[in-house]
Amino acid sequence: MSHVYLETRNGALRLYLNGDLQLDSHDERLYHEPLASVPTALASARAPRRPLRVLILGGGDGLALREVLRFPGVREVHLVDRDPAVLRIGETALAELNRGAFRDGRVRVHVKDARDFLPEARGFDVVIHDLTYPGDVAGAALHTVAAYGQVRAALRPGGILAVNSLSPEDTPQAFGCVGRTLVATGFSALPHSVRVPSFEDEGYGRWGFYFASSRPIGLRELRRLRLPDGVALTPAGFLGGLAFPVAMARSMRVAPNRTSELLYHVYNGTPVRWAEPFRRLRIAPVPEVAGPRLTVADGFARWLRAPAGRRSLEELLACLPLSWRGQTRYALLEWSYQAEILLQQADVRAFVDQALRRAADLPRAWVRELRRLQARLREGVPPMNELLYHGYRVFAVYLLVLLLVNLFFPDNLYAKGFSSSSSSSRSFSSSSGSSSPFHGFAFSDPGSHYSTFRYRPAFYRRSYSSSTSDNVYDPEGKPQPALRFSFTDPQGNRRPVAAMMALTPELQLFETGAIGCTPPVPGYQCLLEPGGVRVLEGAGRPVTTLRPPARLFTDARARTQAQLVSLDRAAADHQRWLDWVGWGTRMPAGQEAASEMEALGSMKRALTTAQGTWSRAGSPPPQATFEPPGRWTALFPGVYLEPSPYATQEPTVVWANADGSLRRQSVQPPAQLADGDRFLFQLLQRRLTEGKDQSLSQPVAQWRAVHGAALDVKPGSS
Amino acid sequence: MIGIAPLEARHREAWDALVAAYPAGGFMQSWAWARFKELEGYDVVGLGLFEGERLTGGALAYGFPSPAEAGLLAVPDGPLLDWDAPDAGDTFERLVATLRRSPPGRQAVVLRVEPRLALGGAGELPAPLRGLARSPVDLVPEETLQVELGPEPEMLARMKPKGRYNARLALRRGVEVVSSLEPGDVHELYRVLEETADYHGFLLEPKSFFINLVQALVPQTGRLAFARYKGITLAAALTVHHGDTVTFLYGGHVPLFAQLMASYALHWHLMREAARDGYRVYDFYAYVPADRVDHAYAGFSRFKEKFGGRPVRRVGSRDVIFYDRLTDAALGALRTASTRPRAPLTKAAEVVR
Repeated sequence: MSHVYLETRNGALRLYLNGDLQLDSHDERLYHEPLASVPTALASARAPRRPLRVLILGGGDGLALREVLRFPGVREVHLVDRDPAVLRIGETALAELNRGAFRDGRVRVHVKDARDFLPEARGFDVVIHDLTYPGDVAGAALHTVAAYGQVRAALRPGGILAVNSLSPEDTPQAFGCVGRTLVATGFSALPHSVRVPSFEDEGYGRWGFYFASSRPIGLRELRRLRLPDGVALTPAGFLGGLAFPVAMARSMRVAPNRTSELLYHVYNGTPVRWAEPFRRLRIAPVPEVAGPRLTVADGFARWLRAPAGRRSLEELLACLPLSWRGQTRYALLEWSYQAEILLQQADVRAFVDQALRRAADLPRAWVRELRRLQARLREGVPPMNELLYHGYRVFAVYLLVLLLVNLFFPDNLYAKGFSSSSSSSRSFSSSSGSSSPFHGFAFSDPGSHYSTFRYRPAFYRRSYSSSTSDNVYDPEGKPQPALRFSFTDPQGNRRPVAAMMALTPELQLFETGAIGCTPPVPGYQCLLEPGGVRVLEGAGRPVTTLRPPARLFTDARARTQAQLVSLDRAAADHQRWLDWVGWGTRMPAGQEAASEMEALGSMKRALTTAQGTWSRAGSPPPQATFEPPGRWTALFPGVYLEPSPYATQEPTVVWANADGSLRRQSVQPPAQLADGDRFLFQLLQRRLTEGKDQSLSQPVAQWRAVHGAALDVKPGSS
Repeated sequence: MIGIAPLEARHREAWDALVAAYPAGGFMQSWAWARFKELEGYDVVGLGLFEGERLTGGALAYGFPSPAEAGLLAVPDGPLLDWDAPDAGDTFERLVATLRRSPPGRQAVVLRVEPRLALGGAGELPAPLRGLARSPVDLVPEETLQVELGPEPEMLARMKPKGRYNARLALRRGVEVVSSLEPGDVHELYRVLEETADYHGFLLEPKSFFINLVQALVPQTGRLAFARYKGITLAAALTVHHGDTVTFLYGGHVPLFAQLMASYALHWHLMREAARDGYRVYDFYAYVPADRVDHAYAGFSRFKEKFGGRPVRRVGSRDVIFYDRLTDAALGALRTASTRPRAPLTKAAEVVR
């Protein structure tokens, strides 16, 4: 069975090679006349007295040959095609269409690869590059700087090269790459496009050519083209094909094809809309820069250099080069969800054991991870998240290789069966909440909830957020509701601040370096300062200053100092993560990694301020603290309930004031509300509702009855 | 001992005969299919198992050049060997080792095998396949629905009432089904497939794939069929005729005149034609049971059930993972990632330092 397929359809002969349409006899002239007649006419005009020598690379169908042979000034034509099956068709089934071109005495046919012919080729006036679509390495290799250099050497000075050059509409980058490659080889290149209806029917878009020469081809030359009888194309018609959408210029600004750049663009291009405004484009030389290449490693590197905002997981997969027709971005992304199966089925122990056999050649950090993984795997295969905890670098890359091996096997993308039982959905959904490892953890941010694989104290887990339901975590890892104030500041400046971390279950550090007491009292800001607990009402007006137990001062000094050490360690560790897998921090979730670095910086500033305050304060003098007797119930640091010696009597409220005095007050409402009374009411109410102290039920009800709305919390509170 | 040697052109007929007769083989191990894959850019390696000069088994394996520099080698519908033989394990290992050393196998990190073995009653695998990783995809569907062919009255009797009724209804309403051995009809087939894929949201291979496929298979082992109503093609199919089985490989229907039940007429025609030509089985190629309501094939499967048939569950594809190569590739990728340009430090990082 041959790769050549010839059919008759709707009265036309159609030739396919490897499934690609090469020609339809109804409209092939729209392609072959510009490709072959125009350069021959140009060469004829440039050397009117010289018998012309023409080289055709490819074109075994004989149709470009037909056009060249119309010129009586052509003395000899060398046609080089490596495909005997195509040549046979050219000599037989297409003989009528090509007007018996192969029987012309001027024709020499070379059944060989163009790459084998070109090194020795010299003295041609015209070279016609009529090769098939460069959809593989071999095809694209004939469009490199090196290959065009051989063509240039084959041409006489001022000779004309015409190149069949892909679709400027569907693959403008690839079209541009051909032009840049010509220019990089020393040609002046003129782009041209045509509409070939049969190509458009097959979905190939408009088609493109380049006309190139070491001596620029001018418009005057083109207007004066003399085309022989039998050619339907006119100079005016040809000139019309020099207009391209202005928008194309940008797409065509790509590097020349030195290795696999062209092939990259063939499969990874972005079509352009063929719409006004139009103008003639000039292919200018570009600086010597490397273009994108077809290897996954280079795709990765490109993604690393992408600007911020274009480094999501989807962009990462988008940077993996498509490398065959039919492979689409959508299919790649969708297939990645199937990777769950291969992760469950592959034997990670075998991988770890293999890798450790090469321990002598591996960096120590990798070996440590592998050993941790190996030790853990002895107890059984844990969930994926935990595997990542023990060895995230090596495991992440192991997963990636397994996925890529499958993604770049074409049959997999169109497989009729998936072994996953839940493989029904063929629609790509957002990465959040997906079961695919590549959306879950393999490249996820250490700042996300999968962060346990990094060293990080529990209370850094969610240190700062604008969410009003945010928590901070105490050293035991227990969440504490974050405090948030309209304004507070050790200097009394008014600006909004929020808590960054829980130093203890009773103390929270604010971003300003101030320390707040918890649990919060609605409508009040309670700051622990070296002089005591300063209570401010919502507008920032001081209400009272209290003497707390000594442990609060001790905790504040000790915790701020200890946190600085831990923070530096966490920041250094986080920086190591950023350094190694910087691309991982650019995922949407991974943007938290970058913002986490900022958050760590904010925390450090806050801790440094707090630590400075508390280290300067020294140990608090005894009069600054108050230790309540054991029988007393703490409503707040510095405010207590002293039980009555008599069971039938209500307790008494005791204020431990900063001036060293103790002020006692009834739990019953006062006749007139003073500043501290509303604060006290909040404490009593909290004790009743949260502390379930029913002894306060009647007093609280009485406060409500007597003072009603006057007890309400003022605006501007947390 | 069974010898392993490359399959050559002179083995073609013997190989194809072996594959056709092999109960656990399928058309993807045929010579024609291998040529089709070559047209598609795959590298093909063929290995035969020989007892003396007699070809007794083997494998056609397909690899694809990968820019990931670590690839996959697949043996769909194979390998062919006696899985119950006492030395099956040894033979399989030697075959794997030889495939691994072959030119397309040198880049392979995974060898995917997919013999058409029915899954045992207790879900048991043949010994050589035990311990292999289950592949994430099956190139040949793990589960299918196979209709026993025979005299028409018997086939009709085995169909569900709805299937019988709709097939007859379509014909009464004027749906005509014609078979074609013309590769040129690929354009019409593709048009129907493209509309089907659009409508149902499936991925469809590009047209060049089908041109190569039809050119490779039709008319020797492949056939096209079209269900038309007043000249409008409503449904189309490409079937593969191999061994004693006709497989419905590709097909679709346009969302037009649904009340005419053209797809029923199409399959009934294909079944009758296959039975008349002496085939014993019509394979619907991909099927899921009724409890998989969320599966993309659920609707098609309920349709297929209307033609009678029994579900056949196969072992599915299995992966031999070359962990040494996988490790090479992973460690190489780690080195590449580690030497890439560092991420720029943020301002906060500078503050922290």
